[in-house]
Amino acid sequence: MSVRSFAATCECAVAAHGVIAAPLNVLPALREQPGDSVRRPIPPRFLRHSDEQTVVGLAAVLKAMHAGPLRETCFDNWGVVAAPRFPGRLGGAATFRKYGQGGPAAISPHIIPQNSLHSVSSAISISLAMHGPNFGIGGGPEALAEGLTVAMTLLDSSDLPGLWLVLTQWSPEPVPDGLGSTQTETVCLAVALGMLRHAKQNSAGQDPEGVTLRLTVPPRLDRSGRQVRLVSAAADPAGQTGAAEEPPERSGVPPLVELARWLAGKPGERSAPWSLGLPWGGRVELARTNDFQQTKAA
Amino acid sequence: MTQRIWMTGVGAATPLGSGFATFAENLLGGKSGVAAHQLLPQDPSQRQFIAAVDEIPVPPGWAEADFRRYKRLEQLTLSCTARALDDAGLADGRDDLRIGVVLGLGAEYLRIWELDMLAGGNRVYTPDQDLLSVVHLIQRELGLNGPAVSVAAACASGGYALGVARRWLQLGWVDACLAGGCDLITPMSYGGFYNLRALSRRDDSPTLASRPFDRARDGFVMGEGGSVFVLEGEAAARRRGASAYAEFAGFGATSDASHMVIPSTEPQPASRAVRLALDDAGVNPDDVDYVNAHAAGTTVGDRAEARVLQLALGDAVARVPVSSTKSMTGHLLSGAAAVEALACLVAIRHQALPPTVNLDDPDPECDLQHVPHCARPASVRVVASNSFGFGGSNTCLVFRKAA
Repeated sequence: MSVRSFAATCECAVAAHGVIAAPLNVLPALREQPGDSVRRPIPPRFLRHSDEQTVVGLAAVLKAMHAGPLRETCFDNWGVVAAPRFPGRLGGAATFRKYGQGGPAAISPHIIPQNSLHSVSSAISISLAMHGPNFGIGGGPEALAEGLTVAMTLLDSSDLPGLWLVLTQWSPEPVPDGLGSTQTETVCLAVALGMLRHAKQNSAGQDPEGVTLRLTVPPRLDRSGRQVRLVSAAADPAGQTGAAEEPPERSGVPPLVELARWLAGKPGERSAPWSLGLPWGGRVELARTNDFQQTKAA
Repeated sequence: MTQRIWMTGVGAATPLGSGFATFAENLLGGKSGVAAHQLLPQDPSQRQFIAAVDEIPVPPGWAEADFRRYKRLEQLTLSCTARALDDAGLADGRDDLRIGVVLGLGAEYLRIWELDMLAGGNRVYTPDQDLLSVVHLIQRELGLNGPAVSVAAACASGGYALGVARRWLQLGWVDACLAGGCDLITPMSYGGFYNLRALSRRDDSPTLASRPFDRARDGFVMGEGGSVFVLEGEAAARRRGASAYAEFAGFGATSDASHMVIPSTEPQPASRAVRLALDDAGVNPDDVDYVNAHAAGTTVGDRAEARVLQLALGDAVARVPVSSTKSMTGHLLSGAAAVEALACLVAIRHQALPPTVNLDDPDPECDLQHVPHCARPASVRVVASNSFGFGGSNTCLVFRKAA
């Protein structure tokens, strides 16, 4: 078996982004009108049965489409992958309650198509007429890390012209009321990243905000040739075997909230990269392209 | 040149059995896994026609009592992944390998919350309990040290899982990767699909209910189970003396961008997925020896797929045998693409075409080279497997007999 002794990296350009943070009282309006589409019109009431994370996810993509230099881009064959965190909790709890009261006949036919892990990406693909791959990733506590990992995989392969990565979650995670909503004071958050391979971005002459996403796969050997066994944080809660690189200390703020704040900053204010240690030992960083280039040159 | 990816291990739990040999025997024997089960506790007089997994096999080396303590979805995925590793010869002595895992799990938390609720719990109301997803549980229990992710594209989930795993191997991110898909039937998943009017409502004989491409079909029959594979680069597999069920040669994926539930009547997007997969494998339609169709037994879906194959295969469609093994396994939803990949490996290993059972009167709008009722021997080198999911997800996998 071959032994890899170097770290692999892959990079892509984040050509546009959109962030939506919607408190509960804002969601009904977003559901009715998630934003203006630069593509085909979104059918009225298209989001009527959608999970809340679908609503904010679509709104974030629409915002990114309008905000950045991708406005004139042909999205026909773009892909869309979405990594929601615990989609369907509110709708699921309401369905379970109805099932308890009325049996199988009371189960909504919308629960599976609209509240599953694929639902966010599918609704965005459909509403914006994008024919590239669409699927959901994660769904659980590590959804952000899983979404970033898979998005980089996709963009580094095939002839995909571009990819929307849509990251969503509640903050904090709500306790359902069993009626399809919650009494928890919470915000439904979405970050949409319009991603291009660097080569494509350069050939298109686009350098919108000069932001690069880099994923580093750690080496399997340390510098002395000793094998580094990479074990996920979940697999090794005591840290006995040691991951290659520990994620930075966090302040208790969810990483997606930190990412949203980083993106909301003005380009000049982004002095430090946003960084996320992946559970399996890899690392994702989002930084100004110039910063990465300076690092390479050094 | 991109390295070839081999499939060197299989772990499955299906309505047709749980070992490769048993599954192959039942599949090629045209046996139906559909039976009448009492699924809904509210109405004990009613029995539902489903293709169930009666008992999930305990992985080698596990104590039964310890294994059964896991929830059923966890048992299913653990069983398939652990047995795949064992089958590949990687159950032990793999500390120096970075092994990833990608599983197609379409509604993991809805299933977990529901099963918990049916057992008297209230986990959906207590977010603090949702600490570890199924793939990370597998990672912990099997001591895997590569990336681990869940993916979902409804009925195409397993196709995407295999596609992502193959790409990780090609990028050199992992030395080996577990990939596949699993799903369970629960009262609410059954009720949801029933109320969507997607399920067959036949009440004569369970084994006759699943009839893709047949004029008398009236919806699909739900199945459960899954299959997980070990994927490795050919060179690495050869070095350790592993043998291949097949080469995973090509992958294609597109979206209809049409409707959350109904397949597009326009065949172009799905046929493009087929052509992308064939191109990726470096083959053309004339090279294809068998297509395992998605065809679930819905009129709109079966007809749409026939048009997709006619467009994708061109003139070759008049020659290429096509069958739907869902006629025997039922529709395993998130597990479907993986179990149908397994059926393709059976076709390659046994040089035989699995049949579409119950295909008594083919729908004339599904003008394909069907394999009705009985398996038949054939030279099988290149096979393609379609999976089309809710939300307009289309995947096609191409497998080739390993050289």
